[in-house]
Amino acid sequence: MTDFRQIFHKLRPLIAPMGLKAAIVARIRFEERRVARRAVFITTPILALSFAGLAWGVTSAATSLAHSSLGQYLSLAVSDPMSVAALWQSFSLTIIESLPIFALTIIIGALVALLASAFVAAHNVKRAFSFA
Amino acid sequence: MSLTDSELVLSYREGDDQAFESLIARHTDAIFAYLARLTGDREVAADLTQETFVKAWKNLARFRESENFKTWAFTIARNSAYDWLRKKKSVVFSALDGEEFSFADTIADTEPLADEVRIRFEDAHFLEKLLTGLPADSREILLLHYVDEMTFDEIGRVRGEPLNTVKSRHRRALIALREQAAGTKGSPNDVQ
Repeated sequence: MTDFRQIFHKLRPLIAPMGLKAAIVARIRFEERRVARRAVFITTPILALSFAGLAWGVTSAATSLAHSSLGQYLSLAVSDPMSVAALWQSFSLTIIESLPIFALTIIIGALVALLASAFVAAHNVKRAFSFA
Repeated sequence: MSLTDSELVLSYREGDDQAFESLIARHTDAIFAYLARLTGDREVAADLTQETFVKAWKNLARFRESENFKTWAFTIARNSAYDWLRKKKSVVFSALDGEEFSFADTIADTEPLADEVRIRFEDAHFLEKLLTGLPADSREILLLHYVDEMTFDEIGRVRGEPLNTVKSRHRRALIALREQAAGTKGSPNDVQ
């Protein structure tokens, strides 16, 4: 049986040119920085918008709560818990109706977007602006 | 103890920047040699090697730990090389494409070489010239099996072909190599 493996091992070894590995590493580092910069540039406006959304949501919720009767309902729950317990279904619905649902939704959405974009930005900002 | 390729990929995903450099250091020579012999051009091979690693890096999220990184990287290298060969329009594909394969094609090559041919094979330069004369896919299978020491199963994964097809192509590539060697007269430099 012919040992082709032995025959092929006689082929002269082809070694990669000097500097090829370093060039590949440099190219990968360049691509990493490019992707990181893109992530930072995309997340920066999201970060700003979500922060603005959060501020608006908190202000709006505070205003709505000040005009709603939520405080009175809550003080009733503290002062007369037995009556509240007896009518807990109606009381719960009343509480829900008095909540600024839209503003709270904006707050939760903005908070999630703010945390997610802050995480992505923090993860990429060092790499995006490194020149090593 | 050195980490396996899959462990290095995992380590890179977890934030170790040096892990991918280790993969580059480990596989650059093999991929470069494979591409250089496949394309016949060292400069193109260097460019394609770089392209291979950039593509591997971009698609690292799709790499599964159960896969073999070397096979995966060679698949990317092969696709890049064939894209280049197609653009160059110089690729000679084997006449096997689309043919039915018989069981006889899958049996191992047991025929000994004639002494004259064996002596010629001792000359690495002669063998390289013979390889250059083979169709690209025959050359590729021989190189992957005998130089990069891949199993037929791994070659099948690199080429996206069933095991028996790879075995059959391997057998026919050897026959073509023998025929070229036997039919070549004179000095190795005369081989086309």
